[in-house]
Amino acid sequence: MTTDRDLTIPEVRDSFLEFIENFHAQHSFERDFRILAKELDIKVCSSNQSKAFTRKDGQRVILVDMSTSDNRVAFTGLHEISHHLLRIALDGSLIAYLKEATYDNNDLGVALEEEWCHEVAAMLLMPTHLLKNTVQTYGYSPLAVFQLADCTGASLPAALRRVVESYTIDVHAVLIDNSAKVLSSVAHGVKRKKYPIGYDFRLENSHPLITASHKPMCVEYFEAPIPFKNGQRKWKSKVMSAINHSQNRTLGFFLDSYSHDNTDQLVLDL
Amino acid sequence: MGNIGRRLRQARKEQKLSLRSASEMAEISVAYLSKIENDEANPTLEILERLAVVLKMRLDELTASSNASDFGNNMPESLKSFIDDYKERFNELNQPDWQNLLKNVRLRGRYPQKSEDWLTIFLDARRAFETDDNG
Repeated sequence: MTTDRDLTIPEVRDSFLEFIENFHAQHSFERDFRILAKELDIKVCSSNQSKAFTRKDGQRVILVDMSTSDNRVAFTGLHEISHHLLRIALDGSLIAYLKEATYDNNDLGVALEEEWCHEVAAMLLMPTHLLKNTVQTYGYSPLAVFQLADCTGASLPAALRRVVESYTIDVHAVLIDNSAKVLSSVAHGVKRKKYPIGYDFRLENSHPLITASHKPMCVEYFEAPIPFKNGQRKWKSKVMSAINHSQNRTLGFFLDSYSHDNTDQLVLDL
Repeated sequence: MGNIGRRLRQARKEQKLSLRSASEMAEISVAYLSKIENDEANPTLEILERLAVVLKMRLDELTASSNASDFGNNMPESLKSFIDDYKERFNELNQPDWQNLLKNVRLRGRYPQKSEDWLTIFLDARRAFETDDNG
């Protein structure tokens, strides 16, 4: 008997992520995109524009901009491979269901594929078991982000997203450099996602994230307003922050409650 | 080919069939049906016939051009030669719908190269329609 229903968009995403977890385990959690490409018979070429496509003769190809930093190349290569994996997954049925669900809205289909491939690239570069081990050792904290980036070669913004988006904790997170410039930020959870912090602006010098005395490899706890771009919104939160002295980067997590006060929060959202 | 993909999907929606059910009934994969509907594949005549049966359509309805300007566009040379050689003998070959139907046929993924191949395909399709009309 047939089930006369095609997969919905959330079901396609879940099936894709599940496929990736299994695929990655079968490939010994290989994180080097060149090795994965070889195992999948995908040809890798250097180009000033990154993209994935299949030639008429069936040969799968990825073009990767190799002129950027090593960790960016590593992430981009995995992102482009993810486009092929979406077409390989379940013999091509997942991409078929995505196209069916977005038939009248091609832009949505393209946007979803990009978002999922970003998520999958992060999973391939920072596998779930490594993420879990890191959070177990360093807690759900900025230190876990620094450590995850350090042990996987991922960029700090990529590691930040991977940690924050993998847990069911509502959080605003912000990454700043030593001139107080916001390099990256993430808003996670239904309530906080509505209010993005923004990036590419400077925090006021009086902001506690700047004035707090950070000790090496220690998390500082205090309360502070979330530093929204343009400062138009007043929202005070509990903060966990830490500094990475070798990279001159400070990371702040703005939360409703500290995870050590509420361990129920520490459920992997995968 | 664009017309066929759109028509197939429209007919499938009218029959309230999911991609999964329609592909199972036509004994092709979900991925391949999606590719046909999105004009990314060139189905064989046999597969088009199977889809026409599933979607309760006649093959000529499925392949007929909805746009007269499609007529003659991108027609392979071998098909043009075949039509020129046989149009007096088989009147159907003068009809745009038949020409478009043949234009969408591939043999092992490629256009047939010889007039004899086209003749075999044409006669098979003609027989299929006769059966369909009578049956």
